[in-house]
Amino acid sequence: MSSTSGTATVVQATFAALQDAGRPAGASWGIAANGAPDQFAYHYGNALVGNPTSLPSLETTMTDLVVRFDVEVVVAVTGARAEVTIGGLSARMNQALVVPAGWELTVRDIRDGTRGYVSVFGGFHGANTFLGSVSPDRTLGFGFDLTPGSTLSCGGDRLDTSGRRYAFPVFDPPRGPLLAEGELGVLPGENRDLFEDRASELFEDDYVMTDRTDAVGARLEGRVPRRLDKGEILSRALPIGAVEVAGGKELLVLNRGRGLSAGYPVVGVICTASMNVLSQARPGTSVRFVPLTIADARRLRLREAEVIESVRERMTTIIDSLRVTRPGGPRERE
Amino acid sequence: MRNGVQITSQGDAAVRVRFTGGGTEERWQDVRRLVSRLEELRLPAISGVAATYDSALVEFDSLSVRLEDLESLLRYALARDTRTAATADREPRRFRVPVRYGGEPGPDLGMVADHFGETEEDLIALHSARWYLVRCFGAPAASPMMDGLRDGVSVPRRGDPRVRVPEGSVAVAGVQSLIYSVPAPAGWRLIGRTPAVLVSTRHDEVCAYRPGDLLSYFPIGDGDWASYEGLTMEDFRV
Repeated sequence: MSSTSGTATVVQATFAALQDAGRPAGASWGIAANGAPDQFAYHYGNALVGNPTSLPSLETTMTDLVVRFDVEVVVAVTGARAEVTIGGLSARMNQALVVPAGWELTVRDIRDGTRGYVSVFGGFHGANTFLGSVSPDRTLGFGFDLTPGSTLSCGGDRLDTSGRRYAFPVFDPPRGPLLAEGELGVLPGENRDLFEDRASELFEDDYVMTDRTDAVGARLEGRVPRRLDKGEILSRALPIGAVEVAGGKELLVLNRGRGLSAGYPVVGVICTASMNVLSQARPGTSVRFVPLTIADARRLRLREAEVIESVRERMTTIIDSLRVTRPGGPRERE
Repeated sequence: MRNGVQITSQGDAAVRVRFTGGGTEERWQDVRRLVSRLEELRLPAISGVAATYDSALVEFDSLSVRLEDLESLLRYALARDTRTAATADREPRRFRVPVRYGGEPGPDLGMVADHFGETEEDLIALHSARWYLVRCFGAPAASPMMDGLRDGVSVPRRGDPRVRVPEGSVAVAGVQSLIYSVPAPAGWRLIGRTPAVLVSTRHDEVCAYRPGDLLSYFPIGDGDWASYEGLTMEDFRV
């Protein structure tokens, strides 16, 4: 039986942190949004465990994560494909899972992507927040890094899963519309007129993700549009997803942890939905830019939100049916 | 508000409002006025406004507002009478912060002094003699971006940026000056360092200063550093 609040103890973690939707209000302070780089996988995980609003989740990047729970909890693993086990038994991704008290949840062998998320019904809590978010800001030295032995409280209202005879439904996320695998939707950048052929070179060839990529920016190797002038650009704030030509053989895509102002020219802006895709691109993999209209970018974003909300709706209904209103109350099993 | 406003989309989650009329000073004031109005209106669809010199990046959630509607909202905000903006006329706060000039904390002091045709002593006197208007928050995190030492004199950046300079580094480049809020890579010229703590993640009020406030400096020696260490910008408010 899930109690009101338990403790999650990290058994194994290398590059792992507590993440949430970040701090969008930070922009007004010159503070980066940060938050889970794959916002879709983060919110989807919260939807799968029936959290009515998204709460902090664990994120592990390219490395294995093992967590032990001292009370029974309902969890879900989302994001890049990985081997998931509970108490050594194989388990599915994209499905609510019951982890019995004292058992370990492992996420190993992350592949076809860079990061996975562990969400729990009731969320992980107890970490400090800054501008409403627990997410790391590496520039400011803020955040909750998961290391072996670190603990967090977790869970929420009591649930009784003992009467459930069937597993929770599996909801593998459907493929998004409009874009094929490896394709990133790109909107026009404000400085494309400074480049030969309005930087249309961007759409002619593949780009390769490099390992010089972090929360601040992703460096992509490939054809760099040729600039026609050498004028200085007055520093201005740039959006997440901005594709900068900083010189050299690479493009710099601004990630959620970007410094807000910069003076490099911007040839395109990767749409919000495609930034989630880019965050899962491993070094060495190829991506391709595809021109998109604002209307199409909005469709992609709406589609993501619909997928998340439909799962959230179904899972909150299921989870609500397991809620124990109070110990000894009418819904508690005998 | 005068003519000369461009609103351009910046991806699917941001628009830029850029002011093109008037001189640089008027444009900056137009930006500040827009920020004040948006703060006053508190439109829920707008998540944040990152303002710089002649433009503001307005970030929004495309799930809750369409681009066309956001543009209309911004035009409405721009059209509102200045005098109704209660926050626009806030008195600027003044901060006077200690700086250890030259030496290890300010390795470029000599170079910058040469550039201005001054001795190091005169440059320190020059730098600490005036007030600097905070124009905007810059990179890294909430660093105060200010005007340069002397109007019209541009200081060249380093060809090879330093990998990491400590927080509190007082720097100049181009016609701008800056205090690094946190350790960061830097191509700017370092003339000194302040022990003042600029930003904190322990409070949601990230820093004590805002664009529109004024900063000044006073020189300290090595022996004085310890007595100022750990003090925040609020402690240096005058």
